[in-house]
Amino acid sequence: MLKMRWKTLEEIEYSLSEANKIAIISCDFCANLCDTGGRRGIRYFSDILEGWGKKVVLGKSIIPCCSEAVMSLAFRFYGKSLSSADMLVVLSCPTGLKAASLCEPGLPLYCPLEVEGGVMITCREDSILASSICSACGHCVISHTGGICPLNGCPSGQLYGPCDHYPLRGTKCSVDPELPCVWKEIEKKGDMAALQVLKELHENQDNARLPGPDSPATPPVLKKIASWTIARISAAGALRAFRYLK
Amino acid sequence: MAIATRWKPAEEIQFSLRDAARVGIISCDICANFCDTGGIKGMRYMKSLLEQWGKTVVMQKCVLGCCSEEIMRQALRIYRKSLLSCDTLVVLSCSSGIQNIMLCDPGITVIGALDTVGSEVITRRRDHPTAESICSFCGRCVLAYTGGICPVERCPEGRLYGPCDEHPEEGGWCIVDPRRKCVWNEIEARRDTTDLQEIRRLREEGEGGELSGPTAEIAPPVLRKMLGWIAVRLSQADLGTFFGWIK
Repeated sequence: MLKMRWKTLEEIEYSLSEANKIAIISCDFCANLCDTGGRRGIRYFSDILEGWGKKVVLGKSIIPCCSEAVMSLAFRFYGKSLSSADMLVVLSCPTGLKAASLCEPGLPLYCPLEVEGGVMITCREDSILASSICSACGHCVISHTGGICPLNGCPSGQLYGPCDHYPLRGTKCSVDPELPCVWKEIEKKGDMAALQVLKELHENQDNARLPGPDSPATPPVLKKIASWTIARISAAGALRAFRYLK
Repeated sequence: MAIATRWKPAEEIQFSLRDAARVGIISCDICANFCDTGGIKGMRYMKSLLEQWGKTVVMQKCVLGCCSEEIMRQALRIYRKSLLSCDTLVVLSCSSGIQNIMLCDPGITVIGALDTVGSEVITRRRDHPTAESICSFCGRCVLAYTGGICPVERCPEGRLYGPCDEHPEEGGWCIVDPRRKCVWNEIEARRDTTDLQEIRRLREEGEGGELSGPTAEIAPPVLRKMLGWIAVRLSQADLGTFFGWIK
């Protein structure tokens, strides 16, 4: 899932300064699990909006906001409330706002959230893996580092091995002494020789990505049935239970 | 939800699997399924490749949500027997899914065959700059002021709040990369962008911290386990294919 955080109060207030009647559509998946959306996120944000004297005309969740098909159905389900709003707040990752803008809802859109990156759904805090945030570098090496993402833990951003100031004694990072050197850990759990091979493979531009299987378009009827079913079930709140995974 | 994943090059996957003989595949039925890098389709594709490379595929399973610790624990428990006969597990999911499997520790080598490149809209449209755009998690989103077009991705100068000084006339080509049209012209055609200057000022001078959000709440373990179990059973019933149809 994607980890999100709220923007600053000042920025949100400025962006919503001209809006009076606000509709909120939230994502019951990633944003729900981060408490930046779902029922709790909607309630939290509605309270803030009402504190500013704005009227919240709609507060509903759907799964997943990043699907154009599902989002366009949400616009159909909530058309009446949306037509009385002068701004639509999408409580999801910015990709949800993109999906909404593809559907051309005819009113200004706003997303008060920022994405930090991909994380796993867990309540554990005792593992370096559990707190790791994927920044989508596109050259993943974690298969050979025991799962530890060097980009996430190494301030000098080295992907294939430690930097020149790698601590010989102790485990303190030389760039930021408050951090432990992540490479000490990777040396224990990973395969340093394999990382050097990966470096060569990644630098070789001839190595094209696998093309993947053919992807024929879904027949329109099936697409309609699937998106309608998922949109209806999620609009009824039945998939809100996802949040209990955390 | 749709974390965008792409296949690694064949050379890299083959290198990672150089010592593997009996391989299991676990494929994610959510995000990777929408990218055709996971789900049943991605799993079958990977299986035929592995067989071409002379590996024996002894297990192949889809899991609805590889990034959830609870779901993965249940899946590894349910598929424990088949896992015992594998020496390597190939994971078709985003990096968080791979890390999650490693955290749950199936006791065999775990290899990821995909790279995570960002997040994208689940759609097949290719007629709109937003549909093809990939969010790279810059953490300073301005989409609300650009008509849904991400300048970080499409401006080689990486301008977030307005065009560069050499900004071409309307319909002109980018100065830095003449193969593409200036994205800022496209943005300005859709929206008035004067507000972006105020957003920039607020961010640069901003003293206010980010909103803290409601206090986090952790679900009781019984509920978590139950949901994990339900998710694995639903993926066995091939709910993933149904999900895939919304693209």
